[in-house]
Amino acid sequence: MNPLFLKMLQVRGSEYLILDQQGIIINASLGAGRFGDPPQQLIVGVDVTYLFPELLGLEDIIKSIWQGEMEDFSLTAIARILPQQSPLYFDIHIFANPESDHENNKLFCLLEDATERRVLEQSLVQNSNETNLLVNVLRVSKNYIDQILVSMADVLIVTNSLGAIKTINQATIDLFGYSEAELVNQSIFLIVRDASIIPNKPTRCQTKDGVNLLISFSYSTLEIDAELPPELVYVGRNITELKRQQKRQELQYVIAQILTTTNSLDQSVPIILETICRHLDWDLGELWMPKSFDSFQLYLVDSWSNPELDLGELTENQKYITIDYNKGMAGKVWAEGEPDWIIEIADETEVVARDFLIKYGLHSAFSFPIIGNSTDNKILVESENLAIDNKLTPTKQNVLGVMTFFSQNSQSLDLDQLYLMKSIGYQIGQYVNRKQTEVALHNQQEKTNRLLLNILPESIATQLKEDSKIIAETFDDVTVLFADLVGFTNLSSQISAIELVELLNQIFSEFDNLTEIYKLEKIKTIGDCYMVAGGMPERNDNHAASIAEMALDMQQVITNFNKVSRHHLSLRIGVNTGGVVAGVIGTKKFIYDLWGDTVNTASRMESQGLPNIIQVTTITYNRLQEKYRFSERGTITVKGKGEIKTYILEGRK
Amino acid sequence: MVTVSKKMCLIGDFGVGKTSLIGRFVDGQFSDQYLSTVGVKISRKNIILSKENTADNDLQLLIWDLEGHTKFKSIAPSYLQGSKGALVVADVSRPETIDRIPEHLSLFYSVNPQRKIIIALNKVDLIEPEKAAKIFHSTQSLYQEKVLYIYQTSAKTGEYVDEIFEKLAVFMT
Repeated sequence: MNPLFLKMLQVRGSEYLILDQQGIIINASLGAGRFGDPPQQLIVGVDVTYLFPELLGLEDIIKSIWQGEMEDFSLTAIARILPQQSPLYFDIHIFANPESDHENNKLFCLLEDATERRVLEQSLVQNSNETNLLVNVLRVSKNYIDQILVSMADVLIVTNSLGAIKTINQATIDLFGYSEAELVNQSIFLIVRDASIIPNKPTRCQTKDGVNLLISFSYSTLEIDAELPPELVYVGRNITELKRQQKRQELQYVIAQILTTTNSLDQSVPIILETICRHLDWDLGELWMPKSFDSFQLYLVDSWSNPELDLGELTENQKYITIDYNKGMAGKVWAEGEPDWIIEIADETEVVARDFLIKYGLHSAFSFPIIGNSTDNKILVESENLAIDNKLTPTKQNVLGVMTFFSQNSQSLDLDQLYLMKSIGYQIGQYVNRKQTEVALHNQQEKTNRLLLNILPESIATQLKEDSKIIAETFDDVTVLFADLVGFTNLSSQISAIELVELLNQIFSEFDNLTEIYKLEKIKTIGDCYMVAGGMPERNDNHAASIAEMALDMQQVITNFNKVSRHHLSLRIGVNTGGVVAGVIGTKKFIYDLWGDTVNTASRMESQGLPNIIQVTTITYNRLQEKYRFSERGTITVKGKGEIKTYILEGRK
Repeated sequence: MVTVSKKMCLIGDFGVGKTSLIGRFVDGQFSDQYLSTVGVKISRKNIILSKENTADNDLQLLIWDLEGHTKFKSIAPSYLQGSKGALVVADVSRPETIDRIPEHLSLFYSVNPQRKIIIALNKVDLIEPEKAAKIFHSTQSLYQEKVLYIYQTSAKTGEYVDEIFEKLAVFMT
């Protein structure tokens, strides 16, 4: 062996083995045995595979090298790791000894110590592999958490302490329609429309498309860095639908309440419009109705607009608009009797006042019919004998009006809401019918009352309405007047009956006015005789004077009448004061009347009087003599009473 | 009685548990601590093979624990020279180690065309039994024709560890 070559091996820490053809070690460097497994000192004469099992199975390769068919073969980084010992790494290079002069020692194994390099490599690989495994574990757990966040139905938003969004989940993207890039680093108030977020209370939010949502947020703080203020983790549940349903139920209840507590359409419509707007988040509500049943145009009856928005000019404008039958949304709803919804007004061509609505930022609209009771209207149609085209009548008859709502926010078609409004439309329609009936009934009652009051004193009429039994009442102190038109019978032969009645009506109407002035009760007329009483049914003390005034004025009425008409009429008036019985007799064509001696005597004063004379009894005279001028008439005979003294009222003192 | 030595290799990605399987088989021990293998470490284990119709014979298994495949370093084919069989090991908790099974198969077959390979789906103790069964069936449907057997193993519990070595030994002639 070349000494220089051996020196070089020694310097590099390398060892060698020389093998014979059977694989027996026939020569070796001094330290070669330390690479053996197990390591041992004396190795010459040992089968190489016993110490180096790595060579087992390489018989074919070794043979090829021996025969010169293959240059060499190497195995690198063979480890010898024994308990409680530092590891040893080495490389084996097998080649034919080029210097060998003997066939038997031709195979040369070079054993190169690679411990230092491999230990270093081991620690590098260890590090790299551990990192790799750790990253893998992290990725798996991140995927797992991401998966949880993605599959989370609730909205998850993480912001910094100032409200800038840092992290969102898929549910947030899906719900609000913004991409991740559009939200991250933006304020959370890009989507939240309330001024603050109160935990577990409905918070108003808005999507990218302008759809309003109600989200119930809960939040917790997340301390990332002790130096920095904590981050906020919001978890939000979309409660829009839940709240919407609650609001719908509430709306139905409130509308029902309004309809039962208000007295008229005028009173209820503004409240209904506002209630619907506020409950369902619409900004403008209108009621359109035809002015009459046979009209083919709708007019604005009333409207309500969100006071936070300045829609005044728009609502003012709407007042001067009419909507034709079957034109625009309201006109179609009127014609078809079905509700309608417009998501985007700008996308529609057939909208009444479209440009105006767009100018005021209104995007969505819906409309529903106020549907009344069809049978009532059919009667109306027949009674008013309207010639409406048969094709149009069925719905137009039922649809009393149309309610239309507008919103600045875009509102997507909500069928549930539409059905709800249709049913509310029926409710309001029923209400309108009911109120119309009530008004008609009220008018009828008014008429009846007026008629009744013509025949009966008001207090008696009231009593009669409440209890229709016979009413008879005694009055101790009343004054009764009878007046007879003298010359009237002669007149009847000169003019026609109709002219005669007209004339009588003219005079008696004036007398009626006088009873109003002096608060006297007209009892009846019998032919050309007029009967009036004072001091009843409401009792008072100056009935005698009132009757005296009445009597004097009646004479004046006749004087004036004669001047104008050139007729020669005169009045014979008789007055008496005393007790009477008053009451109503019968149930048909009943009349309020007076009975008693006082009445008979008063009648006698008239019948035994003279034209243009007011004849009174002593009793009446005694009441009036201080304030009125009288003259004595003398005595007259009254049936059942004999001779009585009478006076003539001449005038006021 | 003749003692025969046979070489077998364990091939697979880093950290799938090749060294641990050998440790469990040879020394009956297991450690949760990861120690990466560099180069090759050979272990010997004597077993008695019982074969039908033949006398029992001693066999010395030379088990080559090869450095695991990483994306920086592939397995050197020279280590596989003269190997009578191989255990291809994958980690059921890391899908990518299962995905790389065909690479290991073709590497071994390129050196040793005899189809003497058993696949060990290791670390089954880490996953749900349902998931393990699913992985087993999909692996089976893909590689059944190319290997002798497929086992689900755990060096930690010892499940099917002796079986994979002994089964392979039987087929290594």
